[in-house]
Amino acid sequence: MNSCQNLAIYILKELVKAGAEKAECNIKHEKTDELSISDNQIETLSSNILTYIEMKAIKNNKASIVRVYSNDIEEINTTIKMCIQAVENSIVEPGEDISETCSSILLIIPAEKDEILMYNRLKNFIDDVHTQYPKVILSEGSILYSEKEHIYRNTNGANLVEKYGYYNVWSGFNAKDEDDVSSSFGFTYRFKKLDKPIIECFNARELLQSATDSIRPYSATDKFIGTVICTPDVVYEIFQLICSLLISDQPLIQETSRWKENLGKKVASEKLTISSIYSNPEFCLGGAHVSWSGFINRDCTYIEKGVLKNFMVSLYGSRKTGITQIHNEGKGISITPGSKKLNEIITEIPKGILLYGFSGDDPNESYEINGVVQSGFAIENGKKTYALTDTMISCNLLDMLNNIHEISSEVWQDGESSIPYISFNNITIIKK
Amino acid sequence: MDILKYSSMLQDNMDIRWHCNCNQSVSILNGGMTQNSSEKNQGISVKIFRNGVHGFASSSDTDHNTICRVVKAAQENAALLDSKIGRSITLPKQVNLNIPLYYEIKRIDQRYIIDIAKEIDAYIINNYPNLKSRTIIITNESTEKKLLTANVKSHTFRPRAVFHLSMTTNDKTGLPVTYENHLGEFGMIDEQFEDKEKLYSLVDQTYESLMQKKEGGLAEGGFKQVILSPDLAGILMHEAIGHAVESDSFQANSIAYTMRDKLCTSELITLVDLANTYNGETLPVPIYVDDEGTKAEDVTIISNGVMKDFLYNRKLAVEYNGTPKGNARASEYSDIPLVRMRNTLLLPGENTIEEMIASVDDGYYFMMPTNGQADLNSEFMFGVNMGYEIKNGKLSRPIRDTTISGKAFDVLSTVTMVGNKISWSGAGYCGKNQWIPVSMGGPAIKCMMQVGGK
Repeated sequence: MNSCQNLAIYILKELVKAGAEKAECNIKHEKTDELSISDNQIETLSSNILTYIEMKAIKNNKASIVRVYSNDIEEINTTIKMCIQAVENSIVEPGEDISETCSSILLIIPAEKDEILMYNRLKNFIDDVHTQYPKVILSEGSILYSEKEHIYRNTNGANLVEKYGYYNVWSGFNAKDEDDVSSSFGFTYRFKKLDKPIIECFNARELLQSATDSIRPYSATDKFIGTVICTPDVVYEIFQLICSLLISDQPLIQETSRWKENLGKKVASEKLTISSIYSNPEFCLGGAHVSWSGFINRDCTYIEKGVLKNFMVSLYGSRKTGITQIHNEGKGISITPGSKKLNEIITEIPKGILLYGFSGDDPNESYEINGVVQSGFAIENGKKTYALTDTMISCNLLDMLNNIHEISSEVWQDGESSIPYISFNNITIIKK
Repeated sequence: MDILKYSSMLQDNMDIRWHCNCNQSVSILNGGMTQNSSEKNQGISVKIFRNGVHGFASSSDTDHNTICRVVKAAQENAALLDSKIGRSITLPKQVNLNIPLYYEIKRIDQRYIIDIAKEIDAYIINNYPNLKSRTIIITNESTEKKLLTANVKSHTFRPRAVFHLSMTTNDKTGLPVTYENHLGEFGMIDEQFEDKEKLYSLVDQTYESLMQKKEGGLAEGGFKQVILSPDLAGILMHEAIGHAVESDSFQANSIAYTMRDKLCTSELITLVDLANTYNGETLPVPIYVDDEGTKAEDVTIISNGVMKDFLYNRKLAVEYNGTPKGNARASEYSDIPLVRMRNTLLLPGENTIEEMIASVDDGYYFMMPTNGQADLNSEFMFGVNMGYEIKNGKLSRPIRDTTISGKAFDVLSTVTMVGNKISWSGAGYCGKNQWIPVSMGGPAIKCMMQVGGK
């Protein structure tokens, strides 16, 4: 048993000794090495180590959580006292609990760091962009290797351990030609191994080319109702809106979710199936399998052929609303692809937008979305044409989901999700 | 911890920083406690600059052996990068600085925060029992730092008390309508929120605004004459201008860099990034020294419409021929300092809000922002929680949930009136890879901009 395990056992014992009826403890130990870019150059090499402890105590249906970044025993003892004092002064909240007993499970994902390869991959990426996309400026980015251990224990006997290592690469860039500048583009990828050049990964080339093609954008010509093809990054943001406004704890507890009574009912186009797949071997979800609430995340389908199948509630949300908790926290998003290629979908659109980036306000209670095209291209008569600026989009989230035109056969995979392009009809597009 | 005992390990351009963020938070949703937590995020970091590159290392453990290992790791990282890609850059000489602790550090019992939240919740139930939903979040947060360089010793402590409130009711069609409000002030929570009347007053204002918003309709979209409240003017300056003048954005081709010494807005606009004090008052996020050891001074960004200065760290000051004035801040101990705003203020003008409204025949008065974004070409889009139509110089029907957008420099060139009273929004965070407390302030402004609507 390692020191983090021993520490978790110690913390639970002390919390109970101090009066907790139930308690849980999460400990994360993490080492990260990161090479960072600034202004087209590698500039910083950093090495970070952290120990993070989160403890929760429940007594008389009251709860409190205290977190500390330390493995110093005096600091931990002080934190335990604070946790008990806070719980004694809390409000009775019947929704609070800890997870049930579950078998000891140990997940180990092989972790290997290759520092020389990290440097070479990043340096080669900078050089490749410089030679192949000379107008692109890499303003920021990094490659990092992270090795983590996460332990969860509680007084019901739950004991979960996850050890993992992964690489993460991200970059933000735009393109420039004399005084003309494109909007910003970027990507984030996760890998188990650095087995190919960064520029060959996933959608990197498409984004670098899109930045280059966006240097001289124009406004939309007028106001019209058209079709918007959302790239997978934008589709992922739409999924985040579905979570925050419709299927997670807060809108369900506050009863502001329009889908609260719609389990088993059609809420979207039958073309749409959204799942969260933790078991996909292509994904690198290290650190997400063991929940901080004390369960192993399971695969789950949220929308199947347009029908709402599940809500994403926590244990607290489940106890407050009566909705069954399905032990899924929404990582590994996979949307079932369609049968048409993106280019074919574009040919079907008389007037619209291929949308790479959107900047908008959070939707209001009526789910109205308004915002500007941050990066995108006009589609006219079935062809992708000029880059856009000064163009706004207005639509309703619930209507959008029921007005899906097509879903592409191509998907973007970034190591954490697998998402196709989705085109939506009946979107208002306005020249500013 | 005594950081001074590591003085013997110092070398040129090395910063040793001990950094502790504490956060105590209580939230009550419809009478149920959804959060009762506290967090202490602390650790040590070492940053070394050598020939144009940085070596950095950090740890959450702060025992002597670990600190020695962190110093060694930072040295090795700097040496490794220097051997591969060293460039000849000399940082500006650091002024000797000794900033002792001036604010008494104390810890607040969680019970105090819980009791405030309970009292506010009880006040809401007693006075406004028909709300569909209410959420109260009360936070006591603080940042303590000890910094040691070859020239600088500093120990700073910066507490902030924050109150967020959200109320929801149904409109006449049965759909939910929400209004949010907040208050954030420099100081410990037992000093700032001891006077509960201040919090009750915010509750009353929020309810009143919610009732107005409930009756509100949609704005008519188009290019309109608009009065922006101080809150909205402040966030516009921060997002659409402030980020564009952070010198690390010049690498991403920020539009501001080309505007130096040029008229870029109306001459009525003067924008400053303040370090710690304005008119003798301590600001919501007072900074006396940054995380590179640079003394914090005010920066005049725009003066009477002319772009004058930018925000730098030590390295970018060399690259762009500027002077660092204390804008390099890190969010946590494990973060490298980035160029950040502090307290961004649009200086007041001469007009009363009544004069400004009376001058508009057909337009809007927009009050409370939700969120928004801006690009480095100053193109922005913000949500507006609530406002009023203005017809013939008078406030008319309430408007809810609209958006405003434009290119900030273009919009600010249309400013024809600037209010004479400022207010500060001190509860905010700025997320630019790292979330960090900031404040923004300003008076109301009258301008032309694109309004979203049907």
